[in-house]
Amino acid sequence: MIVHGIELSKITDELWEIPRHKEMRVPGRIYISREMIENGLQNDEALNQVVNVAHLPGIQKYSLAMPDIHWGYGFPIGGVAATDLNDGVVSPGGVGYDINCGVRLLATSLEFKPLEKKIPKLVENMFRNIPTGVGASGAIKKVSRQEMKRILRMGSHWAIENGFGRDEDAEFTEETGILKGADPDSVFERAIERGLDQAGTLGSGNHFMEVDTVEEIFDEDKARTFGLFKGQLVILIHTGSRGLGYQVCDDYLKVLLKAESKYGFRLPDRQLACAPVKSAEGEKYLSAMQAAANFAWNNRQVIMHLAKKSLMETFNMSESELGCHLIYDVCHNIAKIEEHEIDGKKKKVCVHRKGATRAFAPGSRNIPLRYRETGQPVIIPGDMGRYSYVMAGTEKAMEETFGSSCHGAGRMQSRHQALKHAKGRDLVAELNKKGISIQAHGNRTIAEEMPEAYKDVADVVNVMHKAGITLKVAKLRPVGVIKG
Amino acid sequence: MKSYRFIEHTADIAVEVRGGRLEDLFSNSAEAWLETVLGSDFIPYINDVKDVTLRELSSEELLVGFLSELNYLLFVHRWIPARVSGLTIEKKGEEFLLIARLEGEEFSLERHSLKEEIKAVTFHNMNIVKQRGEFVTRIVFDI
Repeated sequence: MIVHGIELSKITDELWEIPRHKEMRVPGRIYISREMIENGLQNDEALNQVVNVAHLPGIQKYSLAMPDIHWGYGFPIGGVAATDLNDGVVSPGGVGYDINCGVRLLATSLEFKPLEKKIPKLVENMFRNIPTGVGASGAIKKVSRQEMKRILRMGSHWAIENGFGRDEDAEFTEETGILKGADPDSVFERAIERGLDQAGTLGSGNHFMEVDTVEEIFDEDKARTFGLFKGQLVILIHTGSRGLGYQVCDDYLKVLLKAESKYGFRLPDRQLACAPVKSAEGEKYLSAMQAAANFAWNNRQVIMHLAKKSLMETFNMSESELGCHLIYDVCHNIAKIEEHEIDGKKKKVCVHRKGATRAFAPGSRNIPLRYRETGQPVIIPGDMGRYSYVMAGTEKAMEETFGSSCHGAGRMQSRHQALKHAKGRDLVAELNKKGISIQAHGNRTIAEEMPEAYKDVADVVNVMHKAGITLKVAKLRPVGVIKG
Repeated sequence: MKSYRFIEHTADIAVEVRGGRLEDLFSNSAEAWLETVLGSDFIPYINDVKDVTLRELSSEELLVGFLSELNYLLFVHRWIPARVSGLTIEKKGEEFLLIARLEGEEFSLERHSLKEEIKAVTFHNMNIVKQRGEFVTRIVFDI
């Protein structure tokens, strides 16, 4: 099949290949269904971007993309690439502007039904307690530069040490909420300035916090291990490193654009600017990116604490009565040094996941003990009107995708189109009718983020499930939403 | 007629900008940036100025750098660069040198409302070309 001028050949119903051509170093491989190609990829530059990524020096096996593939900067969203540590590169375009944008799922031991009437009040309290929206600031006292550097080194451990959570929260965070190679001195002054008052803020755009109920369980055993049961009340938090991460990406794109000519790389897109992983520029970017990732984990940790506070206030319960536990925190915009089997040999590589979630298999040393038999929980948020999913990582992901899976739904309509479709409609009333309370900064955000503006996340998740990369464990239905 | 127009974009905001001289292209791009972040109803109350000097290796990098500077002033210093005056661009050896005066005011939540937070000004599809005697480029803002 030819899509957007690019040849796609079918490997299985869920896997398609772009054969190596011109200066591609490896073929491209996309996990997707025929329907999704025909309905979503025809007018999208994303496949070109899969081809562009295949040009990166040192790329291993394939330039990969997940079913939520869509156009991004440099890499497509949903793009995954692993590069050799010795002769490969690291590219900020493979991470994105929102470094360590991610999701965390907080479970309560409460059932939703008896609390249904209190959800609007809960949403109101959350909206008051958690700073949201454009330029949101001030969740916690503005930190000093010195303290900021500690956040950048310590990740979510800073929040825990300062009373925003419990020790065990770190265990249930990818990388235990801290990348130890982070060096705050690699983060330029402007990025520090941009983050100073943004710790614990949700931000704007597609970031959100949701109150969900577990609507369906697909795998009882895994759900039990994750701590999920039908009818349960859970909280889903989606945000990242805010202005600090954007600025780190921006600053280092400029640095690496200059490095590109120094190392003699010729790449098809400026947004793919890169440097050897083991070069001064590459190492500096990685340590700044790790610092931004730590900032994001701290951020989600603080927000989770504020969410718990809102639950206690609304339901008039103590923390132990709520029975909260963090199921997992996953990042979906990151580059990490990991060990994977390539051509039968264990090898350390730099895995770029841009709009893709780590999905490690049962038995992996890098996931909490509790999940060693089930595989890592993989949390896939959908749109605010339909559903989100919890999946589990598999051995097949380790073999085929460097232990990676999809990350969400992806937009289908532009903001402008969404606004047009929202004209004359009362979206808040429509959501309320579906049993969803919502609080946001103005109706425009709600219109731009309305459910129809997004693809159906079930299509994305089903491809990954059928391909055996990640398996469905539970489906969550939103009952309350706060939007930036 | 406006010297820029917004273009349909699925996830972010794209704008096509024109200008008779390279300097005009840059000033007009600043106007497009301002409309993106503060909306078309924003009326400036100018009471302060700031000077900027930037050096880059290409006109595209210079434009991204210039708009990023405006973004930084607004989102970090809470200062609205509402108008650009005396903007000059010179080629000096390998480099392009930009000097400009920004006229603006403090941002305050009581008087202003932000329409969008621009994460970054990107290089995507940016290519400054001359068409029918005018400089033209596309700019994509990541929001």
